[in-house]
Amino acid sequence: MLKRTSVGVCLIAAAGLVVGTTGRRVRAQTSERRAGAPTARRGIPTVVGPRGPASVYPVMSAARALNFIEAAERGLDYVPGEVIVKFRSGVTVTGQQRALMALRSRPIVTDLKWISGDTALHRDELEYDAHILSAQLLEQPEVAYAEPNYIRHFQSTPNDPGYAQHQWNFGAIDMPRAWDINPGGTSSLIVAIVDSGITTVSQTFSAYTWNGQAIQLISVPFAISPEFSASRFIAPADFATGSGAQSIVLDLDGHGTHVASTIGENTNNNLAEAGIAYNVKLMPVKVCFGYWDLQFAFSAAGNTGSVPPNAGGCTTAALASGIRYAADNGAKVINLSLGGVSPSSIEQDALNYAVSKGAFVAISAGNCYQPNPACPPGVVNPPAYPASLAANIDGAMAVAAVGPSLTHAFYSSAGPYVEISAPGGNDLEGGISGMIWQATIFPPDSNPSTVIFPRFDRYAEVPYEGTSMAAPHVSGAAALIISQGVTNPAVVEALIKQTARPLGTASGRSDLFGFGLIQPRAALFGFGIK
Amino acid sequence: MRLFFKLALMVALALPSSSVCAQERAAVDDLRERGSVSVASDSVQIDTGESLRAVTASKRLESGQPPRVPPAPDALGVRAFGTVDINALTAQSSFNAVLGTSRLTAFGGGIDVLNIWRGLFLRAAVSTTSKTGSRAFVANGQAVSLNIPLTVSMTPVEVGGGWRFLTGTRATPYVGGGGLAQFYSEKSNFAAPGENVSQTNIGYFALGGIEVETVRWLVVGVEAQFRGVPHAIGQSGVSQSFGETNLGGFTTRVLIGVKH
Repeated sequence: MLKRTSVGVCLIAAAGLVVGTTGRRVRAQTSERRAGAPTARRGIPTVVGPRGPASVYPVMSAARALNFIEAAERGLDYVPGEVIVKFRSGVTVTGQQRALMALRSRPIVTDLKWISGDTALHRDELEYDAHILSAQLLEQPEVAYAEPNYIRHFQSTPNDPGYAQHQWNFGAIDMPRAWDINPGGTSSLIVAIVDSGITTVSQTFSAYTWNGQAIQLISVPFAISPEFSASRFIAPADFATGSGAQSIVLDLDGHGTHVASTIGENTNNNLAEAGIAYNVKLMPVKVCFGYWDLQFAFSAAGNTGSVPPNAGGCTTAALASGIRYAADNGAKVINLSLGGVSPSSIEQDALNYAVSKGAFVAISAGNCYQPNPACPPGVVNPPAYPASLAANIDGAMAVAAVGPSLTHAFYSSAGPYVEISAPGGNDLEGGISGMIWQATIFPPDSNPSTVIFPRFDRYAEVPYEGTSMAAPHVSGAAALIISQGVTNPAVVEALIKQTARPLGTASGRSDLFGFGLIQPRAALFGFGIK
Repeated sequence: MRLFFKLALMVALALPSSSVCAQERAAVDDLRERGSVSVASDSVQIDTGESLRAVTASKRLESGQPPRVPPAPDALGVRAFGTVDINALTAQSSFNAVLGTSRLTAFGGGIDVLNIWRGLFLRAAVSTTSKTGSRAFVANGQAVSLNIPLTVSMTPVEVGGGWRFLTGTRATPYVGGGGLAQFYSEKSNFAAPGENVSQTNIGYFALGGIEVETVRWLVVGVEAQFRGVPHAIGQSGVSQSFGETNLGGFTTRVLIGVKH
C-alpha cells in the first residue's frame, strides 16, 4: 500500500511523545535540477514491510527500566543507582577493589560494566542517589573521577503540526552548489548517528505491552526507511538496551531517523527530501531510548500500567560507549543531537578519544535559551553538555540553530561555547514551514497518547525543530569536506569556521551564532592563492 | 644619423657588430707583430680600428673575396631571443599550498636593441607560465588540499634597459632593470562568475647576465632577474593566511638568440 502522506508533529523528543495531525503535502523543490543536485521529489509514501517472522524485541533489563521510570517520575537528570567511575592509570585490580569497598553495597570489580580500559559503570542496589555514590568514590585515592550516569535528551523542541513542505534549510546553506562540487560524499566514508537509532531491518518483533487492562504480547512491525537501504548501514550498535554491537538497531522514537535523514537520506530518487551526504555509509548507534523502549521493557518484566510519557533519554555511559564504538569502527563523522546541563567527564574522555581517532564530532548546542519544559526549571540558557566541551576540542563543534530568516532560533542556547550555526528550524517564522522537514517514522503510528499497539514500519515527512536538527547539517557538510580529502578533524573544524557566513556581527564570533552560518559550498571550494 | 649609417652598413654586410672572424684574428696577429696592437692583461685592445680594417680588407683581397668594412664593436644591433625561465617565487608558501611548488618554468622571448649609446641597450620581453594545482585551505600554517583543480597563469611583460660591458671577447656581461606588467589569473573548476581571478599587476625587475657568442649570429646567455610585484596578492586566499603579498621572485633565465 502506497499513499502520499505528510504530517506535522509536535515532538516532545525526550519522551518520544508525539501529538500530531495529518496534512496533505504539496511541495516541489526548485533550483536543484542540476548535475549533482537533487531532483524535485514527491511526498514520501508510507511503507509497510517487508517483514520477516516475529522475533522477540530486544528489551533492557526490568530493573534498569524501572530506574529510568523513576528518573522520569522524580525529574532526575541521572539514572538512579548508577555511577560511572574512572580509576587512575596504573591502579591494580586490588586497588580498584579497595576503592569500591567505600560503597555500602561492597561491589565486586568483576561485576562492573566496563566502558573503556579504566572506566566502568556500577549499578548500586542499595544507594539510589548517584551523587552520594560519586562523592563516596571520589574520596578514594584510586579514583580519577566518579559521576552519576547522566541522562541526555534530544534537543528538538515541541511544535504544532502543519502542511508546509519546504526544505528551505538546504537552500540557506547553498547546498545545490555544494553538491556541484561534491555530490553526496563518498561511499567509503562512515557517519555515525549516535541517537535513538535508525531501523536497520524490516521485520516484525514480539513485545509485551500494557493494553490498558492487561499485559499483552503483540506483534510490532518495523521497516527500514524507504529513504535508506540496508546496504548503506554499517556496523549498527545498540548501547541503549545494553545489547552493544549487533546487527539490528530499531528506532522507536523517530529522532535518530530524522537526524540521519538530514545527514544523508537517499537523494535523486524522486522520493521525499534530500540528504546532504547521500552517498556515505551510516552507522546507527543507538544510545537513547524513548517511550516504547521503556514500555516494552516495563511490561516484559510483568509490571502493569504505562510508563510516564517523559521517561527515556540517553545515559552518558551509553553515550560514551557509543562514541568510542563509532570511533573504533571507522566513523569519521559522529553526530550528537542530544544534551543535558550537567558536565560529564566520561563524555569529555569519549570526545577526546573520538577526535584522536580521526573523527569529527558535531554536537547540538542546546534548546534552553528560553524556559522550556525539557529544560531545568528556573534556569535560563544554561550551558549544555556535551556541547560545552566542544569549544576546547579541535575537531568537535557545538552547533546553534537559525530559522528561515537566518536569525537566532528562539530556543537555541547561546554562550561562549557555541562555534557554528546551521538551520534548525523556527516555527515562529511561518509555522511548521519554518521547521526542518525530513523522513522519519510516521508519528501517529506510535503516539502513546492515542496508540496502544504501535507500529514502526511506516514513514513520512515530518517537521522537527531544534539544535538537534542543526547539528546534522554540520555533520553532513563535514562528511562532504572529508570526502573531498580533508581528513584531520581539527582542519575540518577550522575550515567550517573560516568559511562561515558571519551572523550578528560583521566578522568574528558571537555567543548566539558562533562563527556564523555554515557554508558547505564555500568550505568545499576552499581558497586559491589570491 | 651616424647610428643609422652604422646599422645600415652592418645589415648590408651581414656582419655581427662585435664578431671577430678568423681573418680578423689573423690581422690582429699581424698588427701585433708590427707593434700596432698593445696587449694589456688578457684582453686585446685595438689601437687603430682603421689599421685593422685595412689589414682585413687586404686579407680578403688576397683570398679573392670582395673587401668589406666590418662594423665598429659598438655598432647598433638587435638581438632577438627566446627564453626559458625558472621562477622561484617570493610567495613561496602560497604557491606551495596550491601548486605544490613555488618554482615555475616559463617560456618566452624578447628583443634587445643593443649599443644605443656605447653599451646601453633596451629590452622588451614576455614570458608565460601556467601550472595546475588544487585549491587549498590553511590551518595552523599547514596547507590542506581540497582537490579542486586550480590553474595559475602568469605572463609578465618586461620593458627596460641596461648596460652591456663590451669586452671584445665572446662573453659579454650585462646588467639592467625596468618595469613589468604582469598578467595574472587563477581559474578553478566549479568557480562562479567573479570567483576566478584575472588581474594585471605592475612591478619592476633588475637583471644581470652574461651572453656568449657561439657563432657570429648566435648567442646564448644566462641571466638572473629579481622581480618585485608588490601588493598583488594577500588580500584573500591562502596568501592572506600566509601573509604573502608579492608575486615576484628570483628568476634564472637561459637565452638563445640571434643577433644582427
